Amino acid sequence: MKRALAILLAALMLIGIAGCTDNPPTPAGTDKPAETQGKPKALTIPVDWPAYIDPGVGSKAADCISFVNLYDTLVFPNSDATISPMVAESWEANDDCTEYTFHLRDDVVFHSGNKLTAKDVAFSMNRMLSVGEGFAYMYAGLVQSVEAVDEKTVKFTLSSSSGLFPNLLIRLYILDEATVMANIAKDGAYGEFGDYGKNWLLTHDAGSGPYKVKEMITEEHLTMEKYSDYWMGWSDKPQAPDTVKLLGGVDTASMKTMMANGELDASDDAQTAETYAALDALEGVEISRAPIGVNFNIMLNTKLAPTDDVHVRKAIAFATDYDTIANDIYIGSAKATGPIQKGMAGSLSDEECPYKYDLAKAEEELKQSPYYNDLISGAMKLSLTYCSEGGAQQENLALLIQAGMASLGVSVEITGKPFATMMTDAQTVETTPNASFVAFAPSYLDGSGYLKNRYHSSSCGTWEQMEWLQDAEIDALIEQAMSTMDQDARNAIYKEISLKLMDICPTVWMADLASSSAYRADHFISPVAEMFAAGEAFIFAMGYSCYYRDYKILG
Amino acid sequence: MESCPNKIDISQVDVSRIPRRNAGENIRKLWYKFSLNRVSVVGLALILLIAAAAIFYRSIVPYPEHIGAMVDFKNACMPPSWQHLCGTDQAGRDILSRIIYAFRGALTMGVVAILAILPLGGVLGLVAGYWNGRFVSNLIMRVADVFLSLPTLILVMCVSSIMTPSTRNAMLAISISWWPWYTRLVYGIVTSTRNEVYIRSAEVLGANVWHILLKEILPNALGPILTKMTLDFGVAILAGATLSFVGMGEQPPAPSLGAMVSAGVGYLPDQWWMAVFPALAIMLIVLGFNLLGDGIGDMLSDAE
Amino acid sequence: MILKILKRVVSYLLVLLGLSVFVFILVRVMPGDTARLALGPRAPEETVQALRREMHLDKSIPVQYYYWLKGILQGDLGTSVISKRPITEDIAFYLPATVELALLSAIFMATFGILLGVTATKYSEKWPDAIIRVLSYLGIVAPAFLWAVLAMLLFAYLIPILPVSGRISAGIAPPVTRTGLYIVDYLLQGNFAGAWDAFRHLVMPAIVLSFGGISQSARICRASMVSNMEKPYAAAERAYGIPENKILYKYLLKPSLNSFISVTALDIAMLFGGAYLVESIFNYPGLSRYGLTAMLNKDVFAVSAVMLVDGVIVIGFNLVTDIIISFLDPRIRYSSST
Repeated sequence: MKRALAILLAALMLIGIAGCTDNPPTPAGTDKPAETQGKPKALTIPVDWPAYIDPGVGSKAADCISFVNLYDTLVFPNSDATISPMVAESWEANDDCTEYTFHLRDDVVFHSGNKLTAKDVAFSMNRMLSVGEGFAYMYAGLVQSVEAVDEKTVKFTLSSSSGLFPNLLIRLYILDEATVMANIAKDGAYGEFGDYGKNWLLTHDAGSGPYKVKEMITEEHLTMEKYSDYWMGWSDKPQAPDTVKLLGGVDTASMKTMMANGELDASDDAQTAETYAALDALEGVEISRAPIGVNFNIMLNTKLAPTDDVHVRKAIAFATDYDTIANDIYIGSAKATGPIQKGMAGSLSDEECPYKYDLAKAEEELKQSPYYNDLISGAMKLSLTYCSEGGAQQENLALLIQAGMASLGVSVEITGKPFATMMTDAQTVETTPNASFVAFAPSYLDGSGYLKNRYHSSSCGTWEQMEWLQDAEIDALIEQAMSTMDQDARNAIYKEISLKLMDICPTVWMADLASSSAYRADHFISPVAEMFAAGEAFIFAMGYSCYYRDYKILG
Repeated sequence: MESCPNKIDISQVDVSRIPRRNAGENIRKLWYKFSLNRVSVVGLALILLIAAAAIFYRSIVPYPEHIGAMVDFKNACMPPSWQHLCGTDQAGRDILSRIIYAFRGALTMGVVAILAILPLGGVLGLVAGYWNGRFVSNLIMRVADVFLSLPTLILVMCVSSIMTPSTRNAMLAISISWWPWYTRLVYGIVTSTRNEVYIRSAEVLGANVWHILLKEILPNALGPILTKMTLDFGVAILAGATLSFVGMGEQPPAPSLGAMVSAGVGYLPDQWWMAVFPALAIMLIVLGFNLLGDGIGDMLSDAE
Repeated sequence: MILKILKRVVSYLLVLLGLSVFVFILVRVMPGDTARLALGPRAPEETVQALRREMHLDKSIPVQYYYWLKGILQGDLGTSVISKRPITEDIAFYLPATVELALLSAIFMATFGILLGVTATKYSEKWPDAIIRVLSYLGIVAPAFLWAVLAMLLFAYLIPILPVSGRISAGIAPPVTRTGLYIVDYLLQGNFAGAWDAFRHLVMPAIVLSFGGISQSARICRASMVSNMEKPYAAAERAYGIPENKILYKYLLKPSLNSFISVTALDIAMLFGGAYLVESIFNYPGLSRYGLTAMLNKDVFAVSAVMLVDGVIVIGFNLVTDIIISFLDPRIRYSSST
């Protein structure tokens, strides 16, 4: 017995030694991370996990990063909030903007080798509408039918006129119908389409984008590799990465170590100022900050006491220390001027937004409120919820608001909740807290991308609108704007809505966030970093700051 | 066991007339035994010190306002200095003040959660042990088995993830998950003493069931219960710290040790003081209860 | 003997049934609309309704339980809201990782527990005993997550010799799955470098996880050995001049193992579910981290599956421990044959 044990131990030790001595000759088997010199150009980037890489299902930031790289769209969003042709060479609308016809290129080839045709576009739209998840809400109720007129022409018929339909199409990622249909599970919820390929598309792509799925481990990472036959070619992008690994579940502590030893090439954008400072101190690491259209809000429940009173809401808006937010909590962000990101068409200027940090004014507003005595005596409290998964900044921000209100004599009860709980709470007026922190990013860069989702009655009951505004006038104005063809006229209405919202004050518009990222400047350059360094003004639609075809690997 | 010589007498003498030893003398004797073990005395001193700090925090903490709704981002993440012995946290608050205040929550968490379940778990154990073999006993013990078949931490977390995060709910979650341990402990003691002659005698004398349970059987269980309780205060504090580490406990701005560690982890290694001092505080308080528990255990087992 | 074991098996099966009811109720009182959470706030109501029907969420609680239990017996644990795929697939991925971690921790726990326990007995009341005593307090007074944080600080920043995240290094291909245990799979493939890498990733979380258990088993081992030491047979052996080490390891250890095994086995079983924060902190893709994410995301089917799996493991361990102890202890082993 003892002898057997000894032999076993000896054998194990030998294996251990063999393992050690085996190390040098096996290049991939060393315990050092794969270095890049003389190797394929690779990037490893941490993202929020899980990522859903099915364009009919996902809509979060990480999902969008995968879509942008795996799929092509009819139009491409530029960094100045306009769009350019992509798979669609050109398009035209009928007079009342209820029918749009797109003319497609004929040189786009899917990763499967199949040619991209109008039928695939129609299939992708129909699939999106039937599944109803992800970005489907952008088209649901608007797109009546879609028809492949011929191989190169696709026609969308809308149920009401829309002046900005092409802008919306940046989220219609085109799937290869043949590939999807070859991989459907028969017994799904969608009749003849089975499960519409939902199971297969969890871990595979059916796109034509510059990258294709190399490996998707549902639990932790997605590795994409360059699609060598990409229709736009690679000759003008010699430095583009060969593989990109999107890695999930990296906490702050491991992020620091992994960046220090080269296992990670960039940080995510949910870190504290101290963490960015610590990362910046690493050799070769730089910080970039990109506006990504994220509006950070305190949503105030306008149907629940005491925030059903406009004076209380305004008091909160005046008691918010905007400078501290921009300087100490979300570094690099700018004070928001209203519901639409400052600088975008239809947004308000600094002067047009009346809310500044002014405790005297806050006090003045509070005194006009019928709840004044109850709030001062502590008989009534404000409930504030922040997202406990939103990083340390959200807690700091909650503390800041609490301290601001405390200086007025009003107590705020803070609760940190997981996002799933916040979504559940948002379903009814009674369970929606007085105040909730939500960072909102529009799906497409246009005023309506903010206003429709945030303030139209159709979004009540979802996390996107915890204000419960339900204002018929605002609803009508939003609808009117979205059906307006003329861009300037449309933007004028956006501005009118924004000004009206200033009076109602359903929201404290705290900051237009900048997405910070620490990245290994000695390893790669991203367009965001270049533009940030050059001091250019730019804005990216969610996911598009990670269009890896434009990245340059150094060395 | 002191009651041994009385065993035979008990069937003849009125129970209440048994001459009892002077309580003061008893305590002095126990204290002597307890004090022989230096380490346990250290544990007791530690707990008393922490409890005193928690109770009289107002006069001790250097910055009382740093406990409530206060932020000072200009002084965020300052290293330990004479002004702030343990440094400041991410919102510029004095960590030492917050640790002292957090002792209150930690002590309450442990003591209340365990004391709350003691009557329930204990009575169920008494009942199950006394009527061992009957349906009610089987029912209680099988339900306890079901609870015990889940790792305690998972159960605590699952229960508290159902509720809104708060200190009260965290304590509730711990209590709900913990009672079977006491049921099982008491059950074991009751079944082993159930057939002792003095219990049988009391039954023959026609003593009330509750009299037998509470006056005859329960005193046997007090020692082990007291020992386990003292140790469990520490374990429950750890469970509470774990809950607040994942955000299921005390909500800001009130400080809690687990949440402070959790916040500090993101600032390692540069701002190490943010995680390290609250972590040491947790260790200190749990160490105190462990030393004390061991001391009580030794004291009572020596007494036998 | 066999009859006795059978009886135990039956009673454990009953507990298992009770566990399923308990877990089901616990998870069902979790607030939140599962179907809505699965499809997102913007999904059309018809799609949500259809999913609700598919998940039997529109039926009464007992009927839901029936379908749930029926599914489980058929190996169907439902679909996860987070991963959007069958939970059995999730478990098949995460469970082996946790098993591997728990096994290594168990090895540490048993080896170091016995070694320290025996050493403490040998030098009872001398300085090694005192040191071991202090060490064992350290293991008990701090939760695993604190050790994880401190170990991270130590090994990741001060002496960076061990990896701090994941199961294998970036750039190393995971092994062909045979057992799901990476070290074993790599060895089966003959990839020793891979096995070594996987081992290095496991060491730190495993030590951290086993710290509390080591302390406890060392204390128990010492306590029961010291009490056996006072028995006459130990004195007799010493009188015969049998070397001290032989007395310790051969004659004293075995009779002292009973309480050690029953406590340590329970500790090991608890490892499977107790690894929550350690797995989270080390970014280790195990079942506990999966369970925690599921709880935070109100992924009710995944939560119930994880709890059930953990419960089955604990119950299984209890059963096996009962059997082992009855084999080890001749009094129990022979009791039925007389």
